[in-house]
Amino acid sequence: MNPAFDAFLRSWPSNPALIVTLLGSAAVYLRGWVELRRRAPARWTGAHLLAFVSGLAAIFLALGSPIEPFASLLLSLHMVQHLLLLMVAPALIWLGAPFFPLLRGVPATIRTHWIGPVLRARVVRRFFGGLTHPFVALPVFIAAIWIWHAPGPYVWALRSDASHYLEHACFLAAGLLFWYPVVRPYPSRPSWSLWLLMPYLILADVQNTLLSALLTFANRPLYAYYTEVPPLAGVSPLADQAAAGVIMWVPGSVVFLVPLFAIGVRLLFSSPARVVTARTAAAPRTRTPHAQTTFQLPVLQSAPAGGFDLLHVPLIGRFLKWRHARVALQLPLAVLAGAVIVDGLHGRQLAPLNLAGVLPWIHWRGLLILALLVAGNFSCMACPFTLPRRLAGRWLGFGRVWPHWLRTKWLSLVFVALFLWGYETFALWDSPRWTAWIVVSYFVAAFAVDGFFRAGTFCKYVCPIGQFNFVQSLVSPLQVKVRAPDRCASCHTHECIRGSSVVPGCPTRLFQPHKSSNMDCTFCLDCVHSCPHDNVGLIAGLPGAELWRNPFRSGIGRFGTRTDLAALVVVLTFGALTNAAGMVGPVVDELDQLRTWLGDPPAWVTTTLFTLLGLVVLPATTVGLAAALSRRCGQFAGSVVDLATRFAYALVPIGFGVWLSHYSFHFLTSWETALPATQRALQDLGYTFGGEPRYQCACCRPVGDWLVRLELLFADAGFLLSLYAGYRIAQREAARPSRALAGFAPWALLILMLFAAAVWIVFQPMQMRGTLPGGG
Amino acid sequence: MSQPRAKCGWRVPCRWAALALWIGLILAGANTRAFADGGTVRLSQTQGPYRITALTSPNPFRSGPVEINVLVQDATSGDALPDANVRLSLALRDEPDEARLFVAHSGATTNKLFHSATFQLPRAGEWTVSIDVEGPAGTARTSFDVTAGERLPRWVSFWPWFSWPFLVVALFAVHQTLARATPSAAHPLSTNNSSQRGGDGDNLGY
Repeated sequence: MNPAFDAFLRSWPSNPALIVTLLGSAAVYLRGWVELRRRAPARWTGAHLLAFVSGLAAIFLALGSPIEPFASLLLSLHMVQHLLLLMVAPALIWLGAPFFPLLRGVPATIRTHWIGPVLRARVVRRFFGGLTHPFVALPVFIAAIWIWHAPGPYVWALRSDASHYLEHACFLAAGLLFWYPVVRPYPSRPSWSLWLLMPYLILADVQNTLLSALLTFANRPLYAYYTEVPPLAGVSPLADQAAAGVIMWVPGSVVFLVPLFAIGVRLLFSSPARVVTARTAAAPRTRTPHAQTTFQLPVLQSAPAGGFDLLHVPLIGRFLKWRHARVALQLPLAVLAGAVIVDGLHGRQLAPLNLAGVLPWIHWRGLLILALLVAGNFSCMACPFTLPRRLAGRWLGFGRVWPHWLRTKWLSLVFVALFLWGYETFALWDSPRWTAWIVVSYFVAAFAVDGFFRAGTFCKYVCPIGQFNFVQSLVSPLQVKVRAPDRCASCHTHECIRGSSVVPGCPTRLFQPHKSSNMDCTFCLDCVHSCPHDNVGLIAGLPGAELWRNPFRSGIGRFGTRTDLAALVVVLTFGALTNAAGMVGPVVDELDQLRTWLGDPPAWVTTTLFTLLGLVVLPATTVGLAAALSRRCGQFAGSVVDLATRFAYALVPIGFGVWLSHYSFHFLTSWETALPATQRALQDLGYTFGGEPRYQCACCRPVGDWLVRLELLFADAGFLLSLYAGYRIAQREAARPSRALAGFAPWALLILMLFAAAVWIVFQPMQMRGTLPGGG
Repeated sequence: MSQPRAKCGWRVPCRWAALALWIGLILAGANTRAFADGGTVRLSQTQGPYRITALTSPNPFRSGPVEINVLVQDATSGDALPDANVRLSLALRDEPDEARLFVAHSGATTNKLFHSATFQLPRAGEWTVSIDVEGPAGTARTSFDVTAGERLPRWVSFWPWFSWPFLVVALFAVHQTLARATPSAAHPLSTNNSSQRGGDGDNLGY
């Protein structure tokens, strides 16, 4: 085989984005087509499916096959690529009548409430109606072809990836516009006459012939780029150019002439009534209420609602419904906590090689945040500190009620702030002994508080980790909630909160029928086990939807009146940035300079100032300012504090995004550190079966570009969800809808600033805490 | 009493899994397209028994991640020689003794005709790239000079990854404008109804 041809056959570009997009489109179309075909098999035939999939295949052939890499070496192949995008793919896609199948194929919520209003909008319909009119589509098509085949733009596209993408996008878009009037995909009913298509196609063919002739008969290469690259298989640039012209001329003309012939035959031999019907059934449909209804059906109908329930998943659900599931999860964590304590107190005081230096700070934090992202508050569910709770109740047995004046988040907020301060000031990640003592004090505190007071008091009012989990789980996809509210209406025993003879009720006093959101829910699943109606599940919902709602919530009240909760949210959001910023190069340098400027005081002075700035000064000023401006611009009712309280919940997603970026960064770069730490700990205890410690694993992995992208994606998602939550809150709180946007603007600015800070941090050099130097 | 299973309860995890897969593929594959078009032609000349063509990416050429593609052809027949051995040597013009050596592999780039080497160019400046070819007809050596600009800040190559949310915001703004102008059903996410305020929970003290 010719080496060039052999290389051609092996030169498949790796473009996962293209493949996934095409496969995704095909899957959505297929899903919609199957449903539509079930209803109207005569209208939705296999030919539609075949045409649409062939159209996608043509795009793949143009952009995802060896044609793509060789297009920069051979003009003739480049022309094939252009024809596929201009003429083949668009026509086939329209022949698939993709509107209804694609709409029907997307999830009902997106279809009905996001796409529907756009498609129904008159301005959109007019715009696309005008754009696909032959008088517009033909000039656009011709302009796209001639401009991009002019020597300057053509060579520009060859020399730059971005312009090459732009060229292909232009061709595909122009092709779709051009072929729309010709194919008239269902339910398109244009008002203009079919006769108009005769000059339409003839003119298109004439311009195609002119350009083809120009290429074929030119006596010099028109595109300088192809004179620079070496000729392949002995084909000179001029011969290659002539071949490109012929390809454009002959197959290109056929593509125009075949529909021209078909339309001509139809016009000449069809009954006049049929042609008139086709012509007159068009635009009016879009303007009458009846037409709108017809257009909405069947594609804009909502699908029946259904919720994913983790407890219905075969193995996991069965395990979680087991009464001792929580203990089964807590026990291994308790063993690990014991190992952390022993190794932290007695092991080698080198954090990357000590279990107390790696397990809590790298693995547990990373897994905790990832669990919050994909499921919910499973960290509290598996929390080992509450394991001896029943023992405490039995031994101490006080069961007192937590003082009323402490039934807020203020105390836990102080603990959260102290923890974040202590983390920086005492470099907790670098001190296995400190870490071990923190774990010990956690066990003691949980034992004492839940022994003296009612079970669950520690989790709800004291535990800083619990508060972190509660707040972040507001954007988790799963929630412990009732399956059928009607069933709760007839229940008078309320075991979910009172408990049954064998299972206690909710320790944090959340009454299931009025529980809303994951706030204060430890995922202990006592309500699941105690409910005699099997009416509590781990049910999926829209992540973050609870942030803009303000109903009465059992055990909590309304978010909008809980200033303590809002303050906790604000501190955790700014804490995310403060915590991450404390380990990036420029901030560390600034702190060093500050220390020098202050006359070299102890390090805790500068870290305290930094923490005060990050957790108190900045949040108070920016949130206060945003609330004041929002109150003034949006003319909201209530005080500045009321408004800050209401809007603060919109900051949860951006804070979560930053925590997620930060903790997943450490986990994904340093997860291997557990191995040498475990090997060393075993070796110290005299066990040799773990082998010699693999110290190279204690260095973190290099930071790949994919990880930077992942971090940015987390921040992006948090940013968008925060903006949306803020917007929805503004809509709800504004006295007049017209003021909502003005009231939202200051909060949008604040969220944007937080996002900018998060992105800046991602690109800074970072301390690889908890690892040995030498890696990333 | 058991709860009937939701008919479409698996849709949510399936969608999330599909989204995760999509994001994973994008994250994994975004690098592979970087220099797929070969790059800028720096040299195309006959040297001994071979015709050697060299292309560089990115365009404009700058320090940081770069790719050099070399096409080796038989000078007489024009047939590509993908089995030839190609070695690259890069040295700053001011420091000719401190050359960096790379082997260009066929198959390392999308176009299997080329021999390709991807590496980090450490500094901006005037670089001399020497190409040594060893093939069935013997050896050949040629070189070209290229000016590498300063490395771009890291964020520049990632700008789409943090700027796409603004496109989403713009689309959302258009959507809201259109939705307001179009009478439609209540928003699905709108759950602000009076029945959710207060209720039994207040009376029961929960």
